[in-house]
Amino acid sequence: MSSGKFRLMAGATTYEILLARPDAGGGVTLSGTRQRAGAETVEALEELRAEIADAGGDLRIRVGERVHALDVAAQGRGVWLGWQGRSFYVEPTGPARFASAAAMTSDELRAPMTGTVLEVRVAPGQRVSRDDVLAVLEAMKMEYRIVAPRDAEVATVAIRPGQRVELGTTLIRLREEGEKEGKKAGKKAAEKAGQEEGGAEVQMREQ
Amino acid sequence: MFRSVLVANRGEIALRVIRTLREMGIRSVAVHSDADADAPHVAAADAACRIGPAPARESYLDAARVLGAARETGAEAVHPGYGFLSESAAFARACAEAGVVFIGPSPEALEATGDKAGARRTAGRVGVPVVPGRGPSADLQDLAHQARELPFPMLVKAAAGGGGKGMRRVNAAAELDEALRGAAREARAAFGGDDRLLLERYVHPARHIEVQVLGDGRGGVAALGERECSLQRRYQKIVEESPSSAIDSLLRERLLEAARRFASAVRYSGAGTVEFLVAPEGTFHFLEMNARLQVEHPVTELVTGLDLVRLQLELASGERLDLTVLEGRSRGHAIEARLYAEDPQSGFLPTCGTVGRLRWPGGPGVRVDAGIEEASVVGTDYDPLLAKILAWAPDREHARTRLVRALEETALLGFRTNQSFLLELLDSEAFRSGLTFTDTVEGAANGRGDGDPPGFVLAAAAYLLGSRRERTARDGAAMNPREDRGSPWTGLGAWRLGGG
Repeated sequence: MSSGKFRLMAGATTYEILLARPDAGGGVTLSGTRQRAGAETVEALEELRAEIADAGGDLRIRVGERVHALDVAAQGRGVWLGWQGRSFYVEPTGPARFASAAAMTSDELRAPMTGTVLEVRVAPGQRVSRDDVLAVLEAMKMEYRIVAPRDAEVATVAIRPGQRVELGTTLIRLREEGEKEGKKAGKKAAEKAGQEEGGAEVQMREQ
Repeated sequence: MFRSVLVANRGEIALRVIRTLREMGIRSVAVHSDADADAPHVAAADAACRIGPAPARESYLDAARVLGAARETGAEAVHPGYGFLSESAAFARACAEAGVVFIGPSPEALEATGDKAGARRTAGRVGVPVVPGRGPSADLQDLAHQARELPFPMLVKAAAGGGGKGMRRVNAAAELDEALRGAAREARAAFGGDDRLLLERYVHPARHIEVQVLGDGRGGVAALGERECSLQRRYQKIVEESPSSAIDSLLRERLLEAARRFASAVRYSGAGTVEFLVAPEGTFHFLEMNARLQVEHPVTELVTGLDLVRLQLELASGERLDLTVLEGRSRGHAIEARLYAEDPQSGFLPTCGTVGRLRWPGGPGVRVDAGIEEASVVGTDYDPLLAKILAWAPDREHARTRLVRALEETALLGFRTNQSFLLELLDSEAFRSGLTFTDTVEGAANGRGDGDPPGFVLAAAAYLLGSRRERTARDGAAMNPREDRGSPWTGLGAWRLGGG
């Protein structure tokens, strides 16, 4: 059981994994590939043979002479795994899901945390330049500025001052200057997302 | 000594205080908001009292409700912890009027230390050097005008401030206006409408070094050694240690003496901290005095062997202590790392969620002060501090490797934390060499994060997700994470280590 093909995502990297149970004696073999967000190239994973055992909800996994202790917690569609002070959230994914995540980073500015909208400084149709402050959020008495990842035009503004927003809520949508929203713009934005990987998020994070 | 003490706080500090109360045989009373009804500090106390809904303003910051709980439960004294009401002179007065002992300095001492402008004047009067500055004022135009007399970069600070709230660094004149408006707004929200601001020269590079003091309220003050807290982000401390590797015994004695002089001048009683900025050439400036127990007080406890909360209780109950015998006890080296609910790969934004798995470190020289347990829900209602992990060892490098080991033993799963960033800091060349300044961390917008999962982690993940997929297909039911702990991932039983 539990052998099969998996498409997994950890951080912004997708993995195609083949997990096989080659014989009845125990152990699994792992092979597969890794593709980083926005990257064209697919890297092969080093093949691995391991034995997995239950440890009261956590796992012990033997690789060669080393037995690793992994802490485990299920969450949502995926699972958290903790090892030596590092933790990884791994979830099943599909191609569509990955594409939408990439688009989000460029065209849609989303709430980086749950909080309250303090200021909205732009209106639909307004032209903005890279690094312009578009809105200000507040959480835990700290302010966070939502910054334009590139020169663009504001397509829609989905928030107003005083509004409480949850993590991930779309705040503002951008589009290419002069373009109408539609299929063409969407496609172009998706292409651009590939070149400008993570633009908006990185800008927000630097505040 | 008191028979019953109410702890007017939550999280790790409430648990910390309750532990000492238990050791002293004193009945402990916890208070909690609705969000904290199941919190660990509630279950740890001998009695618990609800004081309101989740927002702090209507619960932990509501003096009348806290005092009502003290009356209701027969508590003779209130320990405020840090934050919340701990530095409120009005609350200290209300306690006195209600016949309840406030475990902390007098209202007058709280006013003298809480008003940053007044504290600067006091420091100047007793010969303790202060950072050049202007203000306070609530008039932004007036402040902008006064700013012309200071060089850039400068700091805008809330006069009533603390904890980095209402504080901005201004690098150039063009940024001043927005910084003043933002700081005033933050100050208003954080300090009950008090939006008076100060301007200060930004001293850099500088180290943040603070002195732990204990006062008897009559001018007698013991200085229990220093803590180096230079590793900060957004003016929030991340790693603290004692002793500081940046100062020699001569400079240490000058800092301790300056701290004694200031605390003595305000007739300080109980535990407090006098903060200084120390420039590389050894000149130092008074920053402020924190009139409460500090988050990082365990660093001093580890090197001195003292229980600061116990000393606070003894002083507050009127015991006459010979403070001088408490000085000069430091031995070895202690380092604290603060575990926060924040994502180092997304600009350290606050995270929240349910603690799905928790494992604390053990072994020699390790201390954990935590406010969470498995299944705890971490929300955005309160401070994102999850736990403080500390290590003590005979020397600094030993303490550093011990803390790294302790952090590697720690597992907290369910949402992102700064754990990987703490390991990154402790491993950095700056920290190893002890060359840390207040802007050392500020330069790094993001942490490196946890990196790629090793192959066996992916194998384990695929294995677990595959087991779940099969079970879901078989049982037609979605998994409930809370049921995972007991007999999870059915089907693993057949797998045995070393069986192949």
